[in-house]
Amino acid sequence: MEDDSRFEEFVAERADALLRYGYLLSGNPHDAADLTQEALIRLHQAWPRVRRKQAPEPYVKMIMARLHVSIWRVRRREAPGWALPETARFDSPPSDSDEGLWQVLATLPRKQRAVLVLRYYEDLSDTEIADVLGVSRGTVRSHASLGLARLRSVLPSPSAINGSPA
Amino acid sequence: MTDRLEPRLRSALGTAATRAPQAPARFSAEVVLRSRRRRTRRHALVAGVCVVAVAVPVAVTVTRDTGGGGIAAVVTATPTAFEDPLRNPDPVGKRLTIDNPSEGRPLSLWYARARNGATVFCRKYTSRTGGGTEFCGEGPVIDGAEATDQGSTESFPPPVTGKVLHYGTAQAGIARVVAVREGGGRVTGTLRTPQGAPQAIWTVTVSADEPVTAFEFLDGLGRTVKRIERQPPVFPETGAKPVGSTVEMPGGLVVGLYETPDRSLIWKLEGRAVAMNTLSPGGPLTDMGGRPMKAELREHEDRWFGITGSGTARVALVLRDGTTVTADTRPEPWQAGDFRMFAGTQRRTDDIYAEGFELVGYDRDGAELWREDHGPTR
Repeated sequence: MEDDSRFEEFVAERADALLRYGYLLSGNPHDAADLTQEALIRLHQAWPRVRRKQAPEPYVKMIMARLHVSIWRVRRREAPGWALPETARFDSPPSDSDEGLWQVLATLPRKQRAVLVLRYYEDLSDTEIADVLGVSRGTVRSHASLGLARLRSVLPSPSAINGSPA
Repeated sequence: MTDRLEPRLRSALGTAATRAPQAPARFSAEVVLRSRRRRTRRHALVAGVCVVAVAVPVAVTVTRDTGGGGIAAVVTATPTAFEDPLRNPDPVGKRLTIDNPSEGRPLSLWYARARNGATVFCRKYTSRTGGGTEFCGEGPVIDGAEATDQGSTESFPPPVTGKVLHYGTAQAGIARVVAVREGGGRVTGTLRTPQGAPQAIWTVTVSADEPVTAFEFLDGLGRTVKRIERQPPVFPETGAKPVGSTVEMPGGLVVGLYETPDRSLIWKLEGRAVAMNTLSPGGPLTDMGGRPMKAELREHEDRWFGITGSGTARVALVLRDGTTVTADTRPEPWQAGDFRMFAGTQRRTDDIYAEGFELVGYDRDGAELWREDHGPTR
């Protein structure tokens, strides 16, 4: 019971952050909710061991990333336990540049997108990303390079968006 | 270019993150409930999970046996002292306790009233190994529904008995419940109303090898009142490919390493999964409480097998009548942890946990290293 209490404290404190991470990985709120719930269920089942041997947040983020890039889409297990709002919530209106980039991110292969999210949102090093995804550091670099190249090839430069020469 | 793209990427991700969904109230409690239900499905394989004591004075139930179930029913007359009043609301009516066909142990089902006044469904599950779970709620809303599907004993690997129990609720107008199977077969279940319960409780027992895709509920005239379509659970381990080579073990068992993405050993017999040892997180040979274990034993029919520490060269299974069988351990080839594997057979019983046994580990010189006494669980 004490373990459950600590687990619930962890979820209460970090659920929103994990949902944001899930949203960036998956690109839509429904998959974010599924991904977060599934990873937290797995964390709960492993809670005593995870608490003893490693921090729970890196563990749950590792599970979310690996689920997302591997088996998640074809093996969804349970519907999320709550209804999502119909409309997205904007704390601030996205700029054209941000929105355009977000749309191009959605076209990237899952592993490339995950690498970019881990590197540019989670601020992880390539070695840390390699651990999270269970791949080599070289593979991380390769995915990052391919993902960035794809973004560069599709996106107009910021100066073009602003209507001034580069 | 990279210098410009990277800050734009950080900005876009930061902005997008503000559009993420927010966790609802009581999200953590919801996760815990779902986790417990899944753990129940997995049969609470590791002994040591807290079980609340049950008082089981037998009373008569109102039973509407519609012909297919054939499960002996008894009802507890005394509500259990709940561990946590926040999670275990007041019972409404008596408990229905049946023989769980997946475990050969009791399973209790009952109604309760949540703090918000809603009717919720509760279950207490006991595994063959002596572990168990008890929890209320989470299933579909009962109030106002003619019938609901509240859960099953489906698991990966499938129950060792090869049978799965489905259960749920049904209003008074329901006279018959039928499970529709993937291949089109139909299995009739049983309806029972425990004394004082607001509705009946239905159960259907089916073979584990053919999932149920729908439940049909019929009135007294044989008319279908409600049909619940069902998506059988998909376990990631089911279609997973082994990492590296597999190892042939005694008794026809084949064991492989799988990443789904947690690392697990899956034991197969004639290509079908029969047992699993979870290796991550935290490594092998730790129980659900995080405590170190001498061995993780699994069983299937007359086979007993599992993993033990790297210093153990031989494992002995000592049954209650003194019958002793032994198995030499083998190294694992995947460098997946500090453990060795063993497998053997015994002919005395198909339920070693029922009467209890001892498991003993020996080193290469035959000296006893450890001994575990597993008391009877039935």
